[in-house]
Formats: sequence, structure tokens, C-alpha cells
Amino acid sequence: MIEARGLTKRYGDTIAVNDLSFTIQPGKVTGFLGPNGAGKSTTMRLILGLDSASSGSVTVNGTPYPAHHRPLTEVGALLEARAIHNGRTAYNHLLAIAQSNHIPRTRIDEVIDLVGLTAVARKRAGGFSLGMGQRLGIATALLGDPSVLILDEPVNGLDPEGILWVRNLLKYLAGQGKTIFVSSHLMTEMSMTADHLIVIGRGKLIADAPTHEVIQLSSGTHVLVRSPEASRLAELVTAAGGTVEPGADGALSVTGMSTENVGELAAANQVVLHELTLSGASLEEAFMELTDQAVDFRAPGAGHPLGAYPGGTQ
Amino acid sequence: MIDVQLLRDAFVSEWTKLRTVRSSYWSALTAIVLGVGLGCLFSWGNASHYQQMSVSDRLTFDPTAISTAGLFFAQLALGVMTILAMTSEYSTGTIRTTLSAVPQRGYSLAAKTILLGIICLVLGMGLAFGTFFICHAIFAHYHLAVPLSDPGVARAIVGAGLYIGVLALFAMGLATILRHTAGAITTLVAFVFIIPIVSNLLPTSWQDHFSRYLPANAGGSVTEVVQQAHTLGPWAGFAVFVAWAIGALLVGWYLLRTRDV
Repeated sequence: MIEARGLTKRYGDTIAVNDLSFTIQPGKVTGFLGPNGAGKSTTMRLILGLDSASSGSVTVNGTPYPAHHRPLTEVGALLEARAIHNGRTAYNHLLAIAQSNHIPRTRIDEVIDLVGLTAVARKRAGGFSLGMGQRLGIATALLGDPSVLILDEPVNGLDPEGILWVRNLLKYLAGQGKTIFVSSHLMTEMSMTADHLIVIGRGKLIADAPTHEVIQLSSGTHVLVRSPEASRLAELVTAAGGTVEPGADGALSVTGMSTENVGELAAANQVVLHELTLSGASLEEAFMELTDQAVDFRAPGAGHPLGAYPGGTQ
Repeated sequence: MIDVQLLRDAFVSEWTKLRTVRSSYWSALTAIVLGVGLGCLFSWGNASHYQQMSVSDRLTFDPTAISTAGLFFAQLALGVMTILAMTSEYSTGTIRTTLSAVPQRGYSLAAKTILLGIICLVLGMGLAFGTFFICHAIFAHYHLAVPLSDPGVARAIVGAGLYIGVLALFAMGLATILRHTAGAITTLVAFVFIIPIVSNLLPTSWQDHFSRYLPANAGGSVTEVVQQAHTLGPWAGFAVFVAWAIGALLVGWYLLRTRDV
């Protein structure tokens, strides 16, 4: 469990993280979503005590990170891929980290096997690809078999097979009751991996909700539905408060209702469905819309100068 | 209270880091080649030209100083090894892994400092005594050898080894403060090579009041068999050098504890 309360980080006049409060629960994958420069990495460094907060606090399993003794057995982190001396082998890199936290050597071979680096573990890391670096970073995070994992953009540089592997690994670990906090700037990736999303833009919290709710927060989201009884379904949806627009090939595009709502509505009225999908493209749109609002909030446009602030006309 | 187990684990980890990169071996090898090689070269050159020297040169002829002269250059290689142990963590980004593994940051610095201090002390002592005995044989060939039992000779040799050990502490302090390899090496070179040369060109009254307290000048006193003019006594100078090293480490420790990484 990770708990942030009013977490704020200023660099001079710039606010990188602005009054963030959230709780990351164990047993699920929590995605940390935001555009580049939104403050995701800074927040993760604050959690790990590498940067000190300007105000506010954050604890991991109830204790501020720097107060943890041998923290790797409780918290594992991947902050940047390829944070390794090019002249050192992957095995020796892990060995040095393991020794600092009294982790047995047998665990090193286990995590090397787990991330699939056995063949190159005794080679110097200078020749590693970005993907191999990511795998080594994940091995580092898993070294102490921690109950909390903090991963900054772990799928960057991975091939499709690697991305799938990370996705399944994170779900598996969450299933074991671990706390998984994983950042990304890719909404589609997060929608497939995360159970819960925390969205930030310009350092401020935008959304903190289950993934499907975050996706529906956006008005641009629509549910694509196909049915042989399209006109009857359209009437039912409209009656239930949804908005229907005709899509391509006789499909209906429903807004204002979730896939669950549409499906339940159809079942209750015994309407046969051939397709029921959340429109994929709208995931990115939802994300853009969410973060655009944050940008507007921070910097009022030229159309309404000072208008955003009460008393701004004085 | 010092957590001995935490310090021990951090020390073992730092030892693994140091012994698993090639630069450590290159630095040590360079120090040995420079220390022994140059010491032998200087000894052979001076001993073989003794007969052509002026009377005043013969009177100040100091075989001990000549044999340990190579250490003056070897110290740079060991200083670089020490600096890299800290700054390579910043250049590769592993400092974040290191400090998240040991959030008690002082222990990481202490482990690095003790490790490099011991290694440089052992290498320094080995080089000082090794070079002395090899060069002793060269001087003996020319009937110029000075035994270890002569006044001040054993102290100067032990002092040369101690000097290298303390230099590592000073270099670690600089590296922790500056965090950049090039910046830390340049600063060390300035302190060890450039400032002593510059200070020799200053008026002697400045040397009495200022220059002799500078780290390399103060630390150099203990490596001299005969105390030079306008320098501190051997152990007083050594104490000043140790104070410089501790001062640099304390500033580095404070910055490491308070800075974001």
C-alpha cells in the first residue's frame, strides 16, 4: 500500500507535483497515467525518498520509505532502464544490490531466469539493448521479492512479446496480493494492464478511479454495438438516457452509457447482440481530453484573460 | 548508534561494485607502473649521475625521496579510482538504485569511503615499501643506499603510504560534493599538482601563513625524510591533511543527505 497526502514538489517557480493525494491498494495493478512531463517520475522518486517533498508526505506500507530497513525486501522499483555500469555484468549488478540488502545469491539466478536474461547474465551490460535493460530493471525490482512494486514505464523499448510478458507478470503479481504501481504515457497499454488508474497532468490529480470509469469520464467515449434489432435497441438506449448515432455498416454508436449498461439493457429486453465494444480509438481521446483540461486549468487561454480567477479584474 | 550489520552489507556491496569493473584494475595497475617504474627510473638516473653532481647536490642527495617520487604520480591513478567509485554511479544512474537499496545514505558513503581508504592505504603502503626496497638495491649498486633504520627514513616511507590512504578519503569527499567525474578529477589535480607548484612561486611569508596548510603541501611533510623550509612538521602536516579529508567528507555527507538524486 502506498499513501500520498498533499504531496508537492517545487523546483524554483515550477511545480512538478501539485498537492497529490492518493492511495495505491494491494492486490491490483494501479496505472499511473499522464503525458510526458506530467510529474510521474518525480512522484515515483518522492515515494522512494530519492527526492524530498516540498510539502506533504508519502508512505509505503505505513512508513516513509527512508525509514525502511533493507527496503528491497518490501519495495522494488524500476526507475530508468539501463541504469547499469556498462562494464559490469548483469549478474554482478544484481549481486551488488542483493548484498546491500542481505538477499541470498540463489535469488539472483531466480530473477535472471524469471526475466529471461539467463543467456546474457554473465556478459557485460554495455551491449544490452533497451529491452534487455528493461528486463534487467524488472529483475532488480523483483530481487527482494517485495510486496510493493513501483515501475516507471516498464514496457518502453520492449517488443510485443515483451509487452505481453510484462502485462501478464504484473497481473500475476497483483493476483498474489502485491501492490503494483506502474506508470505509462500510453492509455491503450494501461487500459489493458491496469485495474485502477491514477491520471495526472501538470502535476495535478485528474482522475483516480477504476480503469473503465476513467475511460467513461470522457464524453468522447462511445460504445459500438451491433444487433439484428438495431432500431429497437436504439429506442431502448434512448429511453434509458443514452445517445445513439448510426455508425458504419448498420452499427450503433452509443454515448453516455457503459458497455455493461448497454449489455444489461439488451439482455433485460432480450435483444440479440452481435458486437459490444468500447471504441478503442476513444481511449487515447479520453486521455487527451482529460489532460487537456489540466492544461487549460493551469494556463487560461487568451480567449478569457484573467477570467478564470475571481477578483482577477481588480 | 551505528548499525554494524547495515554498514557491513553496504561494504560488501561496494566491494562487489569495485571489483566487477575493469577501471579499478586499470587504475591500480597504472598506480603500480607509475610508482615503481618512475621510482626505479629516477633512482637509476640519479645514482648513475652522482659522480657528475655538484658538491651541494651531493650533500642534499636523498635516496628515499627519489625512490618514492613515483608515488607523486601514482597518487593520481588511485585518486581517479576513488573518484570513479562515486561519480560512475551518477553518470550511469545506478546512484538511484544504490540509495533506494540503502536509504540511510550516510552508510553508502561510509562503506565506499572505508573500502577505498583501505584499498588505497594497502596499495600505498605496498608501493612505498616495495619501491623503497627495489630502489634500495639500485642505490646499493652505486654504494649510495640509505637504510630504513636511518633517522626519518622509516617514518617517511610509512608516511608516503598513509598519504595515499588519506588522499583517497579527500578524493571521495570531492567526488561526493561534485558528483561529476571530470569535475572531481580536475579539482583533485588542482589540489594535488597545480596548487603546490603555484604556492612554491609565492613569497615565503605567504607560504608560512597559507600555503603550507594546503592539503598536498601539509600531507607531503610526512613523506619527507628532512623537513623542507616553510613547511609543517611531519605529523602536524599529516594532521592538517587528515582534517582536509574529513572536512571534504563531512561537506559531501551533508550534501548527499540533503540533495535530490
